Amino acid sequence: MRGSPIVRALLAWIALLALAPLLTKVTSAVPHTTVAVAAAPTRKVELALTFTAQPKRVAILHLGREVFAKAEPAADEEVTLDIPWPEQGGELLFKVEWSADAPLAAMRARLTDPRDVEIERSLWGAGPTETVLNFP
Amino acid sequence: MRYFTLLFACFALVGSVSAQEKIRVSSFSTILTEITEAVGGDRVAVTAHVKPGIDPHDFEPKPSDMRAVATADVVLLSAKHMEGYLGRLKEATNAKGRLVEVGNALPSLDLTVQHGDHSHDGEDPHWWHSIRNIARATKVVRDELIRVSPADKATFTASTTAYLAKLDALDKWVKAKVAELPRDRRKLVTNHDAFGYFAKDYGFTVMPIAGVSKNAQPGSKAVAELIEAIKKAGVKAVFSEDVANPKVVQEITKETGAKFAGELYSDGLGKSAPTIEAMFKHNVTAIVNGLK
Repeated sequence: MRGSPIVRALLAWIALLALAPLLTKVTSAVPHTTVAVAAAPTRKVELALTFTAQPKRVAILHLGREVFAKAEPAADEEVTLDIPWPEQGGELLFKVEWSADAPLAAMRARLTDPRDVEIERSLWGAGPTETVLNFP
Repeated sequence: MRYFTLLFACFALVGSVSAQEKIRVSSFSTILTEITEAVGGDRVAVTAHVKPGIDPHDFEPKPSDMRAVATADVVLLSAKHMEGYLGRLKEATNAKGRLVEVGNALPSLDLTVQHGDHSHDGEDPHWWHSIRNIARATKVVRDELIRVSPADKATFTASTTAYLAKLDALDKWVKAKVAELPRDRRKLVTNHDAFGYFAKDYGFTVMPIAGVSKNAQPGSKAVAELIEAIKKAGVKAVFSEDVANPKVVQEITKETGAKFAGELYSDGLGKSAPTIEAMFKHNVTAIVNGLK
């Protein structure tokens, strides 16, 4: 092939440009796919709370989200939570705010899971108390 | 009679330090260094042989370390086979200090230890990923310091109580943070098998890429099996460790689609996480946020 070097270089550039989309496709990494995690369906979980002393406030968090809160709850409270609850169970974070000057108090939590299995847990505290309870 | 009483008192004081003299402690674990400083306060002078960011699996004592050990009142070791140089340390401490294998006073988890082309069952040495174990280790250190300086018993007991309360608050923080993560997502993929105690305490399943040491290179068959397991379990994120080569982890993320969610401190404290609290908060935040 004859011709000036400049013309040949230009032709080579044009050929490379034409092939660019194909080359990019062949040499690029496998596209990064993200693992999709399906949202778990919610189920009814029943809680019966019993306090030895009335707290100023009680709140329940599930997976970092507040799912129940009540100021000055009764000595016995019935709560129904509509939350994702797998067969292996889960944890609930209880924030119970007793008076700072009150003596040590306790809360009993009886959880009935969607399979009708009952699990009881308790926590103790004085003043603001935060405790994770495992069910089971 | 008075003479004998005086003589007995002199013998009782042998092996203990005077009230003015600091207790010299040689520590071969970043975790035990923190515990000793917390319990002993200004009554101890701790020589930290293994510093934050140093891989204790690879650490080899230098002559200067041996000299410090030879004059120490107490020598603290992680134990559970972490210190391969234990025999030499024992020789160096013949003259004076008591060598305390703290980890051996704590419950053990089993794991498979890889040695080249073969493996065997052994003890998991990474006991400090359980806050309950750190609390137990704190009591071991307290008892050793009291043994060396009985006059400081009240001080060491009070500082231990304060430190245990701090650990209890940290454990509560970890539990609250981990509770943000559904149980079926608590699958931990890391460079090496270092998080067994953490997994046991907080309900995780560990899927290690390599064995007990970060230097153990996984075979291609093992990596392929792990990739399949990660895909099957739908693991969202994988982690590497502060002093390990993250290349294999990056390959796994490419093959599985799981994201790389950062580095974890596995073999003790790190330069950017120089306290036990900072180490746990860094690791737990990375794990929970990565797997959410």
